[in-house]
Amino acid sequence: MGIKTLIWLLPLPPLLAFFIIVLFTNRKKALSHTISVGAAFLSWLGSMVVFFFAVQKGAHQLGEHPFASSINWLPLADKWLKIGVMVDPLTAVGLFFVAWTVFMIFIYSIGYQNYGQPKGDHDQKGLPPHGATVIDEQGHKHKVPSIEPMYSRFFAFIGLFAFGMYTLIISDNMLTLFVGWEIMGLCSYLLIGFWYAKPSARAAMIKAFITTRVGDVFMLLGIGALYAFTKTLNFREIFFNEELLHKMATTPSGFFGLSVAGLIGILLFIGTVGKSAQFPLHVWLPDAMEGPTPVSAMIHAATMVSAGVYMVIRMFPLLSAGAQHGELTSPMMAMAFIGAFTALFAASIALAQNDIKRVLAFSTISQLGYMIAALGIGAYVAAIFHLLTHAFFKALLFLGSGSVIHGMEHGIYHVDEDIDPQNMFNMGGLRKKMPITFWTFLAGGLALSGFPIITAGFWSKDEILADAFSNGHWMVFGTLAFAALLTAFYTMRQITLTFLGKPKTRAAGHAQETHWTMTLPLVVLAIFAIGFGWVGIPEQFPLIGGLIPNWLHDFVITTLPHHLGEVGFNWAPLLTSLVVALGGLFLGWYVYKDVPAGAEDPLKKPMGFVYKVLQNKYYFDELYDIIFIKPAIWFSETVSYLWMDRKIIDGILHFIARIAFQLGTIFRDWFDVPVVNGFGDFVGESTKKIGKSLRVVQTGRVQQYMLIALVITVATLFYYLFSVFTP
Amino acid sequence: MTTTDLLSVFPLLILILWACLVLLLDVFLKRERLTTILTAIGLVVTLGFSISQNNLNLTGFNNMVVVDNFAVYLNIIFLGSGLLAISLAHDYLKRMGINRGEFYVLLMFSISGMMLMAIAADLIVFFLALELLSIPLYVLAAFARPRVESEEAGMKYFLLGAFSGGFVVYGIALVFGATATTNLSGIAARIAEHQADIPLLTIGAALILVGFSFKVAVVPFQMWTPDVYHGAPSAVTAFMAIGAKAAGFAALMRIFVAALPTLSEQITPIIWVLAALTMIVGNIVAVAQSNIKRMLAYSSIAHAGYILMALVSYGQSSVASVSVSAALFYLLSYAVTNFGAWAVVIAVEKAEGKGLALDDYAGIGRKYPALAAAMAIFMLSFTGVPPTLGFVGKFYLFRAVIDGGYIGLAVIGVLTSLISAFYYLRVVVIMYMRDGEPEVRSEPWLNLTTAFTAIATIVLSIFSAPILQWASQAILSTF
Amino acid sequence: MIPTTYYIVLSALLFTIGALGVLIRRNAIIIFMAIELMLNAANLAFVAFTRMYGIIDGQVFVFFVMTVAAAEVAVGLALIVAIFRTKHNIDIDQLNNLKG
Repeated sequence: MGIKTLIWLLPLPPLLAFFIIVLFTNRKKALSHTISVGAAFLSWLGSMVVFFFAVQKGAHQLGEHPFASSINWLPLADKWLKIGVMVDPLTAVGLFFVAWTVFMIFIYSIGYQNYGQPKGDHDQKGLPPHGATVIDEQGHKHKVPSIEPMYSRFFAFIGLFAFGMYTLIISDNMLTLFVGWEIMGLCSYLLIGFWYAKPSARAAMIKAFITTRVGDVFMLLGIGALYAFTKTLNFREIFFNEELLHKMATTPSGFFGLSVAGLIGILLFIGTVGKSAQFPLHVWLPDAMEGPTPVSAMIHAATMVSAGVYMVIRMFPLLSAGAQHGELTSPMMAMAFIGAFTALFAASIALAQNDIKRVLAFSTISQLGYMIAALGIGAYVAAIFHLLTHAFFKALLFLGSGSVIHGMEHGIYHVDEDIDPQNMFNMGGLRKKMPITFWTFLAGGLALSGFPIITAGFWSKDEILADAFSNGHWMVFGTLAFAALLTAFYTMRQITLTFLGKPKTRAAGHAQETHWTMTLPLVVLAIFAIGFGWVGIPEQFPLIGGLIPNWLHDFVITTLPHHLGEVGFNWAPLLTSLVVALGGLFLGWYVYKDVPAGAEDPLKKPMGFVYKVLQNKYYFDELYDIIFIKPAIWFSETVSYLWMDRKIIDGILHFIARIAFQLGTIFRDWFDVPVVNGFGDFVGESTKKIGKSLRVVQTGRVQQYMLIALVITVATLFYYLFSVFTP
Repeated sequence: MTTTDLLSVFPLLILILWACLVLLLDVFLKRERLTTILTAIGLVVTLGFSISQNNLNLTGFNNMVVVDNFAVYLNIIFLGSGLLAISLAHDYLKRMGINRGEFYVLLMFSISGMMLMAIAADLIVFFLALELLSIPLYVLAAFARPRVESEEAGMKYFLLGAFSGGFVVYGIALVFGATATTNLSGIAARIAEHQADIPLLTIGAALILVGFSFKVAVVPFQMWTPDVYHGAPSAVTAFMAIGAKAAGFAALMRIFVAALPTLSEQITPIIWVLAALTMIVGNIVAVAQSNIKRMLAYSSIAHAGYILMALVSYGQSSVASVSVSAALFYLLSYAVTNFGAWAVVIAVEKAEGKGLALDDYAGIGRKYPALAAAMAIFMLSFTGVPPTLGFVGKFYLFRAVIDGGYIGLAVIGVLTSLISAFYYLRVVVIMYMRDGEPEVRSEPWLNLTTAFTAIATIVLSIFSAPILQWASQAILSTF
Repeated sequence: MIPTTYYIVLSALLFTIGALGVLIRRNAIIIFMAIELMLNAANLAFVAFTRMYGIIDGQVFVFFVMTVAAAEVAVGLALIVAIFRTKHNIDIDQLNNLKG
């Protein structure tokens, strides 16, 4: 089987797993998860093979001649619309991180959904499991975690999601990328509202879908504009075509003084703003934490939100078209601004969150802001690097938080305390009770903060800062550096409150390490969180730079038509990076190290009302509620219903009825009913009636059939001869 | 008879001889399994020979038959239909108590008639082929003999078929009178040399159109279709629905596009009206049906309307090849979907005409999810929803009619497709959202057919481009 | 020489009579006879045209038509016998179980 066939087959195993589970094995839990994890394994294996061959082919060759294959799909006018797959260096590294994170999360889900545990006492489909009571040999009753009632459905959905992500990564044109994008949006909706009987989950799933939809509408406009201008949607044909890019950058589009490239770039970027939860469309991601933790890890940390960044990375030649060296084009300026702003904005909110998953959610928004800001200032390789490292350590952190929550739930069942297992102020001292979780979480947290040298996050974050500094983007540099300080602070806050010190509640004191299906992925991801950074050490770094070549830079730079050089080394950003990382970590530990049980956040009093603003996420949800949601509801309830329907239409009808009153009720039946009930009813009913009446013609008597046919034929013939042969 | 002549009719000859052989064997040996297997082998062998005739492009018997890719494409559809019909009939006949070997023989004769229609190039041969394919179908329609409905269906089919056959013959007589030849290329030549008597020719062509329109079931000649499809045994109906229709369209395409293109100014308005009426009537009356066989009968009338819609632009030489290739492609897609849908009908049908009401499909979604999924795929394909073959087929049909400039007809086509969505999806709704206790017959060949056609509907829609290429190339050698 | 037009008019008349017979008569056997009449009207037309053009093709066609007509009638009569066995009459109007 050739490489090209293998690439086509990569998304298929999870899709097949989805169909098989949905159609056939829904009742059998073990079989379902075996099929699902098996499918993830197959795709992982295929991705590793493709990655191996891609690396072997060499960066330069792969950049010029990627593995590509396409088929003609629909005929349009004079040529075919082609769809296909392409593996260039960017796709190859994309496949690498997607395959590993997806596979690990699938395995993790087995343990997270409590496979092997007994069925719950009062568990219902649509609600999270509440625990089962077991009676042991001595007759003591224990409450233990129970298995998820909709176990197989979960694996089916994540299979469908994996299909969407693989499709997006390997596609060679915007159309199939958009298809993958939308499939993931659908799965995100389904999985956020996995526990559909919870009203908060239902609200969150709709919020996620609609918010990302707003972004998707603009993205679709961008795709349409792209096709209208270039008559193709294929990546190689657009982004490697110098002439075309130049033409797009110099043709004015008629909107806001942007060039065509600028307009399309901004439209497509708005899609990313929705999908990757940037300001102002960030409001859905924190609420998305309603879904089970593997969902948060996979969709809302590692893959789907990364897809938004992946797309703008792909679009980079278009976004930067027309810029002279060092200058930024309009889309890039928008990205730099929104990215940097979001990074700082979200980091500040994370400071005041008490739910362990919420902190990570805002952290994700913040880190995505980093990547987008990096692209905005032209740091192509740095953005890709941070995308990859972030996927690993953020997935690790989310999975770790899930492990912590499970451990807490175990403790809660044990002591029968009614507290929120996700609130960090109920945790503490888990380092001793859950060692593996602690060490891996620490690795992830240090990576997120940018702990020097030994964590991957340091290398990628440092490269972004270095790039910003060297190219003179002081505002971006300053914002990102301050955000890094906050990041380190809230990360250490999270670790200290959760793992260090003494347990703040009895439940935390009885927590237990989780099953190996959960801890094994943590360990694997921790290895990547630490080691992955070493593939991208800049050549000019003091001491260690140059010992290992900057493999990542050399590999992915060939996906751009112009190969950018490496950024030169400068002490200032490195020192800034060290100071904010280590300083933030120390401060976080110091402030929170001795918080006793039942106490409130030590920052609450000093920061006063600022703390309240941060905790309520700058009141953006409330703001959107006032600006968008309430007006929409008001409009539909008041304008459409009250004014137009009842007052105006009904008013006319009453008037007519009064006039028609003298003529009798018959008029009312003929006018009132069809007008009020609408044209649609009329059409449907009349179709049915015509059908029924035509049936009568079919009397079953043959001679009548022949007669009718003959009469019509003769009549037509006569009419026809008459019209043709008499001038 | 030269070797070329023999070569041109070789598959046909094999099939007829094989049919005679099977008839004899069946009379003397009377073993039903043997008959079935032999028939299947015969059809496969003929299929092999037909495929080998690809790209051969020869004429035989003094230009009376022409073997080109058009014929090969259609032969493959006919023989494929025959094979699928056998797999459907195998258990069905036993279940209904009409397990007689003559079924297979008649089937083979009918298929040979259809194959002859595909290679015909002379009006005499068209007539022969028409009768050769129809007469076994009359008998097959009446096959469930003691049951009144089947006999009635056979009788009605016979009467209307013979009646329309009379029209065809008279039309051929007039065309012969107008051009002094019955050979298609001869007719085209005479018209080009202005030696043909145009009024007489036009009347003759109109009569031929009427005659074949009966076979294809376009309005107003469609009235036999619901009764015959309803009364005939379901396996026979499945075969008739695609085989006779494809053969009829093959004849229309050959005669009108090849021999009488200059008459297109006069004929096209007629075809426009026929197509529009057929689509409208077929779809609207189907809405009121509660028996699934009748519903599928009206739906087949509607599909004939869609194909006719694509052919309406045959007169414009730049669009003619697109028209014909779209029609050919749609015949294939209709064949696959049609057999699938009828396979499901056969699975649900019970003896004595029960199990055919729409309400008998309630609850299948829960009890037999695979069957319901397959039926849903077929209904979606009939409606023309992606990613099924029906969608691609309709896409090409609409492209053909829009390229020809007949936007009004395309709009009618779209609106009637919308109406059709109602009654097709009604079946899906009944299957999945109503509770019931359905009884479904599960038989290996039946299940295989259902699964095969369901998968083909989806897979072929993705790889539809090569099939369209093949259908387009089939035309190049005809014109 | 009788002009060909006369033959054609005659054949058209015969065809019409045959068609009317199919439409009006109720007995199945009579309907078959009417169908035969239609086919023979076409035969007449063929022979007349052949004579007009002086070629032989039309007359060959007549043989084909006659053969096919015979085969058709054989099958049709077999169908009538089958129906008679079940319903004990061959009135076409009674064949209306299938309708709608």
